[in-house]
Amino acid sequence: MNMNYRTLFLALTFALLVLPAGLSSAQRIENLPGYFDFDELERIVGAETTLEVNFKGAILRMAAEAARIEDDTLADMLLKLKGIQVRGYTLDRDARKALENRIGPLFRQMTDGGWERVVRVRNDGEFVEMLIRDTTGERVEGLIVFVIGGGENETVFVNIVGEIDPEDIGRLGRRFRIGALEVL
Amino acid sequence: MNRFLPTLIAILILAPALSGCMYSREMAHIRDDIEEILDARFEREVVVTVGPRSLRAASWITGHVPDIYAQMASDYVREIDRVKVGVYQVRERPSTTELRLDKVPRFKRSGWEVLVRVEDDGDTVWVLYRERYENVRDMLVLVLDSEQLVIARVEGHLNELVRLAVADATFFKDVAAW
Repeated sequence: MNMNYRTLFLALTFALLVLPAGLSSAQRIENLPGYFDFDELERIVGAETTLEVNFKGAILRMAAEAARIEDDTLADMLLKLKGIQVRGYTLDRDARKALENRIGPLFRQMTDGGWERVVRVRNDGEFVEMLIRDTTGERVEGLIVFVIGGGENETVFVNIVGEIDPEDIGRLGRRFRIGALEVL
Repeated sequence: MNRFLPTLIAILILAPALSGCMYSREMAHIRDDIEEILDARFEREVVVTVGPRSLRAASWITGHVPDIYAQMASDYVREIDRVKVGVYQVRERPSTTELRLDKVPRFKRSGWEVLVRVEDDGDTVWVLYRERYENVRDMLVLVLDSEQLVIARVEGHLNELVRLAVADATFFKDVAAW
């Protein structure tokens, strides 16, 4: 009998030690379908990022609670998200042109991997692509916006991870002053 | 003996408040890690630590000033447990400004995450944070220009601090609109 209690105690201790680790690994933003790893993109851009923003975990919840004071809908929307990543680059005209040509294969690779292109704009030196990921067929689980604008500091990439209604993207852009999203 | 008593009392009173003014092992570790990550060399100029007692005293004093901004500051300071600021001279410029935290496993393991990095006209600012029990408990702000690196570390109830700041901003916006 004593042995059974000991086994039970050991099993419970093991579960308590292992379960949180397993849960945290499953909940890691990098493991979610809507996450985009910017490392590969940085190699394609060929320049160091001049702006990097990473909102996730407690910071995102903090932003949601802060937003609740003014906008309940936005706060609820933020609580459904798992992360927001922004990368900005300072590129001259030639570098921007070269990037537009180099980035094509990445989009093909992404669409083959389950991302769906929903916006594509090529207009007078402006390049905008928006892709979404929906693995369940019920809701958008991730979104990426690539903007190569006309100015030196207007190359911005945004990845939103988590459940998001595309109609709310503009609201999110205005809240965090992400110009690339404000226009959508 | 009596001659030294006031000096001894003054040292005993001031020591907890100014602990770390001369040296902070933790700031030295952070500096060493940042040097390794950025491949640069920094030399300490000054490190100042303001501990809970001094912050509580500052909060109490500002809370009694008959001014709304001072009382707001008192509320903010109450949520901060400790502030450490280190100023370092740049001995060798970094070869990169990308803060690859995985370059120093000890730093990465201690839980720091990059929240924001902004580079503008030769100056770089990083804001890092660490979570504890699903709350933001400490933040690290690094400011680097061609001559100096400033490291500021803030510990406290930062969730509550942000909530207060947003509530106050909304209050003032409402008053201005009215």
